[in-house]
Amino acid sequence: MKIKKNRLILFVFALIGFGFYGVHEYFRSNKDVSGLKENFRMRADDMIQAFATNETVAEKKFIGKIIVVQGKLKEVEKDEKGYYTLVLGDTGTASSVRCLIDTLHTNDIKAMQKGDSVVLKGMLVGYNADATGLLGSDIQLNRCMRMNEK
Amino acid sequence: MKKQLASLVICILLFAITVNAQDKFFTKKGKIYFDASAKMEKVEATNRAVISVIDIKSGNIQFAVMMKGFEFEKALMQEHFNENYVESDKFPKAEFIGQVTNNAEINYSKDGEYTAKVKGKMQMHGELKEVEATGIVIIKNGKIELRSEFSILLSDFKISIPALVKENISDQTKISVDCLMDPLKN
Repeated sequence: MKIKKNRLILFVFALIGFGFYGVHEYFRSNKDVSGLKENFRMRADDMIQAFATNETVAEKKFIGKIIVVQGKLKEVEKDEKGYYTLVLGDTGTASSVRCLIDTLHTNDIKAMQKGDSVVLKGMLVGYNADATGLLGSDIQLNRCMRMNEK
Repeated sequence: MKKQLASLVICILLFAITVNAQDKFFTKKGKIYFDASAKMEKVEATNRAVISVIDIKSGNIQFAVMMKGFEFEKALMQEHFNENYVESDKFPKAEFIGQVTNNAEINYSKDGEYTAKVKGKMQMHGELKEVEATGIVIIKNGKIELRSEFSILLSDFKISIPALVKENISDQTKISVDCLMDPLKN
Protein backbone atom coordinates (compact mmCIF):
# COMPACT_ATOMS: atom_id res chain seq x y z
CA MET A 1 0.00 0.00 0.00
CA LYS A 2 2.85 2.34 1.02
CA ILE A 3 4.81 1.48 -2.15
CA LYS A 4 1.75 2.26 -4.28
CA LYS A 5 1.36 5.61 -2.52
CA ASN A 6 5.05 6.47 -3.04
CA ARG A 7 4.80 5.61 -6.71
CA LEU A 8 1.76 7.83 -7.06
CA ILE A 9 3.55 10.75 -5.39
CA LEU A 10 6.57 10.20 -7.65
CA PHE A 11 4.30 10.08 -10.71
CA VAL A 12 2.56 13.33 -9.71
CA PHE A 13 5.91 15.09 -9.13
CA ALA A 14 7.23 13.83 -12.48
CA LEU A 15 4.07 15.08 -14.17
CA ILE A 16 4.40 18.52 -12.58
CA GLY A 17 8.09 18.59 -13.58
CA PHE A 18 7.30 17.73 -17.20
CA GLY A 19 4.49 20.29 -17.16
CA PHE A 20 6.81 23.06 -15.97
CA TYR A 21 9.46 22.05 -18.52
CA GLY A 22 6.88 21.99 -21.33
CA VAL A 23 5.48 25.43 -20.45
CA HIS A 24 9.01 26.84 -20.09
CA GLU A 25 10.04 25.41 -23.47
CA TYR A 26 6.85 26.59 -25.18
CA PHE A 27 7.24 30.20 -24.01
CA ARG A 28 11.04 30.34 -24.30
CA SER A 29 12.20 33.39 -26.25
CA ASN A 30 15.38 33.72 -28.30
CA LYS A 31 18.46 34.08 -26.11
CA ASP A 32 20.40 37.32 -26.02
CA VAL A 33 23.66 36.56 -27.91
CA SER A 34 25.71 38.15 -25.11
CA GLY A 35 25.18 34.93 -23.16
CA LEU A 36 26.05 32.61 -26.04
CA LYS A 37 29.48 31.16 -26.73
CA GLU A 38 31.05 32.25 -30.02
CA ASN A 39 31.68 29.53 -32.63
CA PHE A 40 33.93 31.60 -34.89
CA ARG A 41 35.88 34.86 -34.72
CA MET A 42 36.80 36.49 -38.03
CA ARG A 43 37.59 39.70 -39.85
CA ALA A 44 34.70 40.91 -42.03
CA ASP A 45 36.85 40.86 -45.18
CA ASP A 46 37.95 37.25 -44.52
CA MET A 47 34.35 36.19 -44.07
CA ILE A 48 33.32 37.86 -47.34
CA GLN A 49 36.23 36.11 -49.03
CA ALA A 50 35.22 32.72 -47.57
CA PHE A 51 31.70 33.02 -49.02
CA ALA A 52 32.94 34.38 -52.36
CA THR A 53 35.39 31.48 -52.70
CA ASN A 54 32.95 28.67 -51.98
CA GLU A 55 29.41 29.61 -51.05
CA THR A 56 28.22 26.04 -50.33
CA VAL A 57 31.13 25.20 -48.02
CA ALA A 58 30.87 28.53 -46.19
CA GLU A 59 27.10 28.19 -45.76
CA LYS A 60 27.51 24.75 -44.23
CA LYS A 61 30.24 25.98 -41.93
CA PHE A 62 28.82 29.31 -40.74
CA ILE A 63 25.01 29.49 -41.07
CA GLY A 64 23.27 29.27 -37.72
CA LYS A 65 26.55 29.82 -35.85
CA ILE A 66 27.45 32.57 -33.40
CA ILE A 67 30.12 34.75 -35.00
CA VAL A 68 32.29 37.52 -33.65
CA VAL A 69 33.17 39.75 -36.59
CA GLN A 70 35.72 42.56 -36.66
CA GLY A 71 35.84 45.28 -39.26
CA LYS A 72 35.40 48.87 -40.33
CA LEU A 73 31.96 50.41 -40.54
CA LYS A 74 30.96 51.13 -44.11
CA GLU A 75 27.56 52.38 -43.14
CA VAL A 76 25.28 52.87 -40.15
CA GLU A 77 21.72 52.36 -41.38
CA LYS A 78 18.53 53.15 -39.52
CA ASP A 79 15.29 52.09 -41.15
CA GLU A 80 11.91 53.81 -41.06
CA LYS A 81 10.92 51.73 -38.02
CA GLY A 82 14.04 52.62 -36.03
CA TYR A 83 15.95 49.33 -36.46
CA TYR A 84 19.71 49.65 -36.89
CA THR A 85 21.96 47.73 -39.28
CA LEU A 86 25.74 48.09 -39.14
CA VAL A 87 27.43 47.38 -42.46
CA LEU A 88 31.02 46.11 -42.29
CA GLY A 89 33.56 45.63 -45.05
CA ASP A 90 35.94 47.23 -47.46
CA THR A 91 34.59 50.49 -48.92
CA GLY A 92 36.26 49.60 -52.21
CA THR A 93 33.89 46.69 -52.85
CA ALA A 94 30.10 46.43 -52.84
CA SER A 95 30.10 43.22 -50.76
CA SER A 96 29.47 43.52 -47.03
CA VAL A 97 28.69 41.87 -43.74
CA ARG A 98 25.32 43.27 -42.64
CA CYS A 99 24.67 43.07 -38.91
CA LEU A 100 21.10 43.63 -37.74
CA ILE A 101 21.32 45.03 -34.23
CA ASP A 102 19.23 43.40 -31.52
CA THR A 103 16.90 46.05 -30.07
CA LEU A 104 18.23 45.11 -26.60
CA HIS A 105 21.61 46.49 -27.67
CA THR A 106 20.64 49.50 -29.80
CA ASN A 107 21.91 52.03 -27.26
CA ASP A 108 25.44 50.59 -27.48
CA ILE A 109 25.79 51.42 -31.18
CA LYS A 110 23.89 54.70 -31.57
CA ALA A 111 27.05 56.82 -31.37
CA MET A 112 28.93 54.72 -33.96
CA GLN A 113 29.96 56.33 -37.21
CA LYS A 114 31.14 55.38 -40.67
CA GLY A 115 34.85 54.47 -40.56
CA ASP A 116 34.85 53.31 -36.92
CA SER A 117 36.44 49.96 -36.12
CA VAL A 118 33.99 47.66 -34.44
CA VAL A 119 33.65 44.16 -33.03
CA LEU A 120 30.15 42.67 -33.25
CA LYS A 121 28.66 39.38 -32.18
CA GLY A 122 25.61 37.82 -33.78
CA MET A 123 24.09 34.80 -35.47
CA LEU A 124 24.91 34.28 -39.15
CA VAL A 125 21.61 33.66 -40.96
CA GLY A 126 22.58 33.64 -44.60
CA TYR A 127 24.42 34.85 -47.66
CA ASN A 128 23.01 36.53 -50.72
CA ALA A 129 25.29 36.26 -53.75
CA ASP A 130 24.52 39.22 -55.95
CA ALA A 131 23.18 37.94 -59.26
CA THR A 132 22.37 41.43 -60.55
CA GLY A 133 25.95 42.70 -60.38
CA LEU A 134 24.60 45.94 -58.92
CA LEU A 135 24.09 45.45 -55.21
CA GLY A 136 27.10 43.50 -53.96
CA SER A 137 26.95 40.18 -52.13
CA ASP A 138 25.95 40.23 -48.49
CA ILE A 139 26.46 38.08 -45.43
CA GLN A 140 23.72 38.64 -42.90
CA LEU A 141 24.01 38.42 -39.12
CA ASN A 142 20.94 38.78 -36.89
CA ARG A 143 20.51 39.59 -33.17
CA CYS A 144 23.81 41.47 -33.14
CA MET A 145 25.46 43.30 -30.27
CA ARG A 146 28.61 45.37 -29.92
CA MET A 147 31.51 43.82 -28.00
CA ASN A 148 33.70 45.99 -25.80
CA GLU A 149 36.78 45.23 -27.90
CA LYS A 150 38.67 47.06 -30.64
CA MET B 1 37.79 69.01 -82.77
CA LYS B 2 38.79 65.48 -81.75
CA LYS B 3 39.01 66.61 -78.12
CA GLN B 4 35.51 68.15 -78.30
CA LEU B 5 34.10 64.98 -79.88
CA ALA B 6 35.70 62.84 -77.16
CA SER B 7 34.21 65.10 -74.45
CA LEU B 8 30.79 64.83 -76.08
CA VAL B 9 31.02 61.00 -76.20
CA ILE B 10 32.06 60.90 -72.52
CA CYS B 11 29.15 63.19 -71.59
CA ILE B 12 26.67 61.01 -73.50
CA LEU B 13 28.06 57.87 -71.87
CA LEU B 14 27.89 59.38 -68.37
CA PHE B 15 24.32 60.53 -69.04
CA ALA B 16 23.36 57.05 -70.26
CA ILE B 17 24.88 55.43 -67.14
CA THR B 18 23.09 57.91 -64.84
CA VAL B 19 19.75 57.43 -66.59
CA ASN B 20 20.24 53.65 -66.44
CA ALA B 21 21.05 53.79 -62.71
CA GLN B 22 17.98 55.90 -62.00
CA ASP B 23 15.83 53.22 -63.60
CA LYS B 24 16.61 50.91 -60.72
CA PHE B 25 15.56 51.17 -57.10
CA PHE B 26 16.57 48.84 -54.29
CA THR B 27 16.48 48.02 -50.62
CA LYS B 28 18.26 45.61 -48.31
CA LYS B 29 16.02 46.50 -45.39
CA GLY B 30 12.61 45.38 -46.67
CA LYS B 31 10.12 43.72 -44.33
CA ILE B 32 8.25 40.47 -44.82
CA TYR B 33 5.72 39.29 -42.32
CA PHE B 34 3.99 35.94 -42.47
CA ASP B 35 1.02 34.59 -40.63
CA ALA B 36 0.25 30.87 -40.65
CA SER B 37 -1.99 31.01 -37.59
CA ALA B 38 -4.74 28.42 -37.27
CA LYS B 39 -7.55 27.97 -34.72
CA MET B 40 -5.33 26.97 -31.82
CA GLU B 41 -2.18 29.03 -32.16
CA LYS B 42 -0.63 32.28 -33.36
CA VAL B 43 2.15 31.46 -35.85
CA GLU B 44 3.75 34.69 -37.00
CA ALA B 45 7.23 35.84 -37.95
CA THR B 46 8.99 38.87 -39.35
CA ASN B 47 12.06 39.25 -41.51
CA ARG B 48 13.46 42.78 -41.71
CA ALA B 49 16.30 42.23 -44.17
CA VAL B 50 14.56 41.61 -47.46
CA ILE B 51 16.67 42.41 -50.50
CA SER B 52 14.69 43.78 -53.41
CA VAL B 53 15.39 45.49 -56.75
CA ILE B 54 12.95 46.96 -59.24
CA ASP B 55 13.69 48.21 -62.73
CA ILE B 56 10.99 50.81 -63.29
CA LYS B 57 11.62 50.89 -67.03
CA SER B 58 10.96 47.19 -67.64
CA GLY B 59 8.91 46.42 -64.51
CA ASN B 60 11.26 43.57 -63.60
CA ILE B 61 11.30 42.94 -59.88
CA GLN B 62 13.23 40.62 -57.56
CA PHE B 63 13.08 39.74 -53.89
CA ALA B 64 15.42 37.58 -51.82
CA VAL B 65 15.11 36.61 -48.19
CA MET B 66 17.16 34.46 -45.80
CA MET B 67 14.94 31.83 -44.20
CA LYS B 68 16.92 31.84 -40.94
CA GLY B 69 16.31 35.59 -40.78
CA PHE B 70 12.64 35.09 -39.83
CA GLU B 71 12.20 35.99 -36.19
CA PHE B 72 9.44 34.49 -34.06
CA GLU B 73 8.33 35.53 -30.62
CA LYS B 74 8.85 31.97 -29.40
CA ALA B 75 12.27 30.37 -29.90
CA LEU B 76 10.84 26.85 -30.05
CA MET B 77 8.55 27.84 -32.91
CA GLN B 78 11.51 29.41 -34.74
CA GLU B 79 13.53 26.19 -34.30
CA HIS B 80 10.67 24.03 -35.61
CA PHE B 81 10.14 26.41 -38.54
CA ASN B 82 13.82 26.12 -39.57
CA GLU B 83 14.40 22.45 -38.81
CA ASN B 84 11.10 20.69 -39.57
CA TYR B 85 9.22 22.89 -42.01
CA VAL B 86 11.33 25.06 -44.33
CA GLU B 87 14.56 23.07 -43.70
CA SER B 88 16.60 26.25 -43.86
CA ASP B 89 19.96 24.46 -43.60
CA LYS B 90 19.17 22.76 -46.91
CA PHE B 91 17.26 25.66 -48.48
CA PRO B 92 18.67 28.84 -46.88
CA LYS B 93 17.03 31.37 -49.19
CA ALA B 94 13.65 32.14 -50.77
CA GLU B 95 13.46 34.18 -53.95
CA PHE B 96 10.88 35.80 -56.16
CA ILE B 97 11.60 36.93 -59.70
CA GLY B 98 8.79 38.56 -61.60
CA GLN B 99 7.36 41.53 -63.34
CA VAL B 100 4.93 44.37 -62.69
CA THR B 101 2.40 43.45 -65.38
CA ASN B 102 0.72 46.87 -65.43
CA ASN B 103 4.01 48.80 -65.27
CA ALA B 104 2.89 51.26 -67.97
CA GLU B 105 0.04 52.44 -65.70
CA ILE B 106 2.45 53.59 -62.98
CA ASN B 107 3.91 57.06 -63.30
CA TYR B 108 7.16 56.66 -61.37
CA SER B 109 8.05 60.33 -61.86
CA LYS B 110 4.92 61.62 -60.12
CA ASP B 111 4.26 61.32 -56.37
CA GLY B 112 1.20 59.24 -55.61
CA GLU B 113 -0.24 55.79 -54.94
CA TYR B 114 -0.68 53.30 -57.73
CA THR B 115 -2.04 49.78 -57.88
CA ALA B 116 0.51 47.25 -59.09
CA LYS B 117 -0.09 43.76 -60.36
CA VAL B 118 2.89 41.46 -60.01
CA LYS B 119 3.38 38.04 -61.55
CA GLY B 120 6.39 35.82 -61.27
CA LYS B 121 8.04 32.73 -59.88
CA MET B 122 8.75 32.12 -56.24
CA GLN B 123 11.35 29.62 -55.10
CA MET B 124 11.16 28.28 -51.58
CA HIS B 125 12.02 24.94 -49.98
CA GLY B 126 13.49 23.86 -53.33
CA GLU B 127 10.15 24.31 -55.15
CA LEU B 128 9.40 26.79 -57.90
CA LYS B 129 5.84 28.07 -58.07
CA GLU B 130 4.06 30.78 -60.05
CA VAL B 131 2.71 33.53 -57.78
CA GLU B 132 0.45 36.48 -58.59
CA ALA B 133 -0.15 39.38 -56.24
CA THR B 134 -1.65 42.82 -56.19
CA GLY B 135 -0.03 45.62 -54.25
CA ILE B 136 0.42 49.33 -53.89
CA VAL B 137 3.32 51.38 -55.22
CA ILE B 138 3.82 54.64 -53.34
CA ILE B 139 6.03 57.23 -55.00
CA LYS B 140 7.20 59.90 -52.58
CA ASN B 141 10.27 62.15 -52.33
CA GLY B 142 12.24 60.22 -54.93
CA LYS B 143 11.67 56.87 -53.21
CA ILE B 144 9.45 53.94 -54.04
CA GLU B 145 7.54 51.98 -51.45
CA LEU B 146 6.06 48.62 -52.39
CA ARG B 147 3.35 47.09 -50.23
CA SER B 148 1.53 43.87 -50.89
CA GLU B 149 -0.49 41.20 -49.14
CA PHE B 150 -1.06 37.82 -50.67
CA SER B 151 -1.49 34.21 -49.70
CA ILE B 152 0.41 31.06 -50.54
CA LEU B 153 -0.23 27.42 -49.76
CA LEU B 154 2.60 25.77 -47.85
CA SER B 155 1.69 22.49 -49.56
CA ASP B 156 2.54 24.11 -52.94
CA PHE B 157 6.12 24.31 -51.69
CA LYS B 158 6.10 20.77 -50.28
CA ILE B 159 6.09 22.05 -46.72
CA SER B 160 3.98 19.48 -44.95
CA ILE B 161 2.20 19.99 -41.65
CA PRO B 162 2.02 16.86 -39.49
CA ALA B 163 -1.53 15.76 -38.60
CA LEU B 164 -0.77 16.29 -34.90
CA VAL B 165 -0.39 20.08 -35.36
CA LYS B 166 -2.93 20.61 -38.16
CA GLU B 167 -5.07 22.64 -35.74
CA ASN B 168 -2.09 24.89 -34.92
CA ILE B 169 -0.64 25.75 -38.34
CA SER B 170 -2.57 26.83 -41.40
CA ASP B 171 -1.61 25.59 -44.86
CA GLN B 172 -2.85 28.90 -46.23
CA THR B 173 -0.26 31.48 -45.18
CA LYS B 174 -0.70 35.21 -45.41
CA ILE B 175 2.40 37.12 -46.56
CA SER B 176 2.79 40.89 -46.16
CA VAL B 177 5.62 42.74 -47.87
CA ASP B 178 6.75 46.31 -47.26
CA CYS B 179 9.86 47.60 -49.07
CA LEU B 180 10.97 51.23 -49.09
CA MET B 181 13.40 51.53 -51.98
CA ASP B 182 16.09 54.08 -52.76
CA PRO B 183 17.44 54.88 -56.22
CA LEU B 184 20.38 52.68 -57.10
CA LYS B 185 23.49 54.82 -57.59
CA ASN B 186 26.38 53.38 -59.54
